[in-house]
Amino acid sequence: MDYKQLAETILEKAKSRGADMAECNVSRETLTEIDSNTGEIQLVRSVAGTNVSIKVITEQRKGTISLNRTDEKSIDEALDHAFKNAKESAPDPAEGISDEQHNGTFQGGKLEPDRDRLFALLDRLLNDVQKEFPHLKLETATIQHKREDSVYTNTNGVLHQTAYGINMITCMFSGNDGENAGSFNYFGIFIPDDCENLLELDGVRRLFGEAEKQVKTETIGEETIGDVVFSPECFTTMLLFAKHILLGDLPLISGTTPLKDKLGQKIVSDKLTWRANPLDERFVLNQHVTNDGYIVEDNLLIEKGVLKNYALSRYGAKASDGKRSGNISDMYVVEPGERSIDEIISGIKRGILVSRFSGGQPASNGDFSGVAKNSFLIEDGKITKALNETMISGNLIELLQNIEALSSSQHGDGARLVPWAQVKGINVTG
Amino acid sequence: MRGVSARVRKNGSYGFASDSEYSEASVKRVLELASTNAGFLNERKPLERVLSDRRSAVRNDDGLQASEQADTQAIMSFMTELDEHIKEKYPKLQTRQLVYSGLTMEKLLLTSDDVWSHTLTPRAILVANFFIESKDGSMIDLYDVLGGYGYFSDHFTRVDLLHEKIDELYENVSKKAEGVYAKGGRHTVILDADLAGILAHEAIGHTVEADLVLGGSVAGPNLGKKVASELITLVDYANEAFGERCPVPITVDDEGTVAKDAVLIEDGILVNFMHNRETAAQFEHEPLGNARAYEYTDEPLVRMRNTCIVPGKDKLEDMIASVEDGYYMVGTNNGQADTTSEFMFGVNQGYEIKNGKIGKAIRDTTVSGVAFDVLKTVSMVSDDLIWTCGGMCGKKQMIPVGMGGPAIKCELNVGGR
Repeated sequence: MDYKQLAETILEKAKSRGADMAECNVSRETLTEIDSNTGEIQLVRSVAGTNVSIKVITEQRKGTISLNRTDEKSIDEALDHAFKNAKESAPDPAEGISDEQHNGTFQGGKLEPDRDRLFALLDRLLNDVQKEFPHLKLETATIQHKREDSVYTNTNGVLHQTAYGINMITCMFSGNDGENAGSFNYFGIFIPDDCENLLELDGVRRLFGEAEKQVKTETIGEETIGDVVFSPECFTTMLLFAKHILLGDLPLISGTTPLKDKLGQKIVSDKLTWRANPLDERFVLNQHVTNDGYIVEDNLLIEKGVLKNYALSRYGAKASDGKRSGNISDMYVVEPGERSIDEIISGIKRGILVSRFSGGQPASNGDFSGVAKNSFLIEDGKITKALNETMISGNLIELLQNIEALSSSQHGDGARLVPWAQVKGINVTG
Repeated sequence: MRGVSARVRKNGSYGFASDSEYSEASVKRVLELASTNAGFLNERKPLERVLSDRRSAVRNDDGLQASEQADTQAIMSFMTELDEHIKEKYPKLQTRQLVYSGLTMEKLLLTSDDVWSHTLTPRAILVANFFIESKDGSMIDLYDVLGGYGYFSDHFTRVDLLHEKIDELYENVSKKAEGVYAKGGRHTVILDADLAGILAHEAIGHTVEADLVLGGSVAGPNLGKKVASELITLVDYANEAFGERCPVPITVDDEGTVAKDAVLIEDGILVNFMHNRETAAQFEHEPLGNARAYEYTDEPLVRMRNTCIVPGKDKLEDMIASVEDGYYMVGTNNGQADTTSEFMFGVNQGYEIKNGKIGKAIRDTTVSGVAFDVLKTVSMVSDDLIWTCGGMCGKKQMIPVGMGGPAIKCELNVGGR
């Protein structure tokens, strides 16, 4: 099927029905997946689907609809619904579509799945884990190839076409020595084309090793401990919260973020330089078009502690009188610090290392509280024992203000690069 | 969204395929692809696994008609009127959000061992979220979830019928804005229905899903052992509990098994796990209809349906009166648990209890513990049952679930500041 033609036909129909503005996204996704449970490969899954998303705007009223059919009757019915939805919506002056711009065609990754390679990589991982990590239970390991072909077009003459193919491995696992079971942990990592051994991917051996050590844990008691070292994965979790609660569309539009009107001001530690840059060449896969139809640009959020930009979509910018961001993705790059993680840990008298934060979304003022999962005690510069039932709480802004050190190495899942972070002033209770 | 999918089994290997095209041709196509996928695995890593037997043919039709088309005019009109009411009555609110979502799952299932089943599960949810500024200038929020099983028109006919709930929400967020931070540490806590429900689902329910038992969950070695106070009986209900329809009624699961209640803990003893047909055969248990898939693109997984602790004999007011210094935790905004049964729940509505009386509201906090330990500390269970209506569970796929319960009095960790 010619998706470009379909998208353009839908736009023409929308215009002829009287839309002031309209946009359409047609995408086709195909997924090839191999699943294992407790070390046994049990399922091969193939998913194919087409998705059509339509937005029409009449007199500043928006109507949207999504469907997974492409026949003319279904499209016409969907347009009927979209216009009906628009009619029933309240007028919103912030509504609109992406502006006229240079149109782009982008392609990335291998578009066709190699099922034999996927099987071989997964099979090797299961065998290697059995040999190298005898006390690890790999509850699920799933390898997949995902292809997405997409066309975005709108009545301002914007037309972007993308085609991406990417391989990914996700695992959920825990330590288990036959008598004791540890906390589970998980990861999802994009696989580079030249990868022959999934154990060699950044962080995999470390996370499996940590899980094995979590089989026997101790409590730290009631004592509050000063320093918390966040693993790159866990620090990423805190950054995701910070973006969502403090810098995104919703908190800026509703005015709930304490960082409203703070652009250009120093708000956190000058050790932090944080950007969202889906175009970073070190990533396994790049993203070139935003969900609202703009060519992606680098978005520098915080530079040396100074708030440079929010993470605002076109709509968010209009609705909050702000400036649209170059992208609002979660593909982060955080600049590294000067010392290695080993050096950072060696300088800590007493603290904890946290690999996973188990907690809900923080409150709108940034307060957070949750369990420090897969965590370890640091005493006199050394990791001494695995911990259980340890809670951490604080405030996201204060957390970023109290960064003591960032590691000299950056780590990530193929779509992020984030260092380890040492933070002071987090409440820790056993 | 609609589509077709097929799952094919060769010995112990599964092949699955789906397509968004809904036609005879695509049915044939996904059957062939699923068969090829199963063959691919069977050639490379043959598995010798059996399924629990199907005793007889299954014919099931929930009897409901095809899904109601959302009447956007009625929804918008209702939401606008409700919003106007809130805006007018509560000018102190900094901001407010009203979100309506309707989800209808309709499935037609046919299997090679003679199952024909048509199921339809509608759900209509309205979330009201209020934001108010506290004296210290920070933004405090609280939400409530209204609605449940059924369509929009089953729950939201007149705005004035929601006034009481909206008034309660405003009163609670106002109290929270003047609230204090909880004191961290171990406390006597009364968990109300929302939190008892999420404890039953997240912290116990997941550990007794048979696929996670095989993955090493803490429940595995404890079958037949005492894991909770004898006041605790915990059940995953199929479609009806105490004479009432459950929030997510399941009559036949997505492998074609007729759904029955699964009693998991009985008088404090762990007595069963939840299964699909394969794990049921492995454990030599009866499958009770816990194999569920969300969309047509999803393969069935071992999932919960409507999970709760069975009500006891205590009155909530007596339970509160029995606490000298503790907390009454009412609302939760998230929950996560481990295969060790260690859990953490976000608490977005709670109160101090001082000398047997409800005291100040508290700001957002968390409660945590090891569920099988916490359940051993349960000393009182209230005599009522309240289902929450908007539960979604994530385990590879999302899926609607029912959870709820009575209030329970127990000992656990509270996150402080």
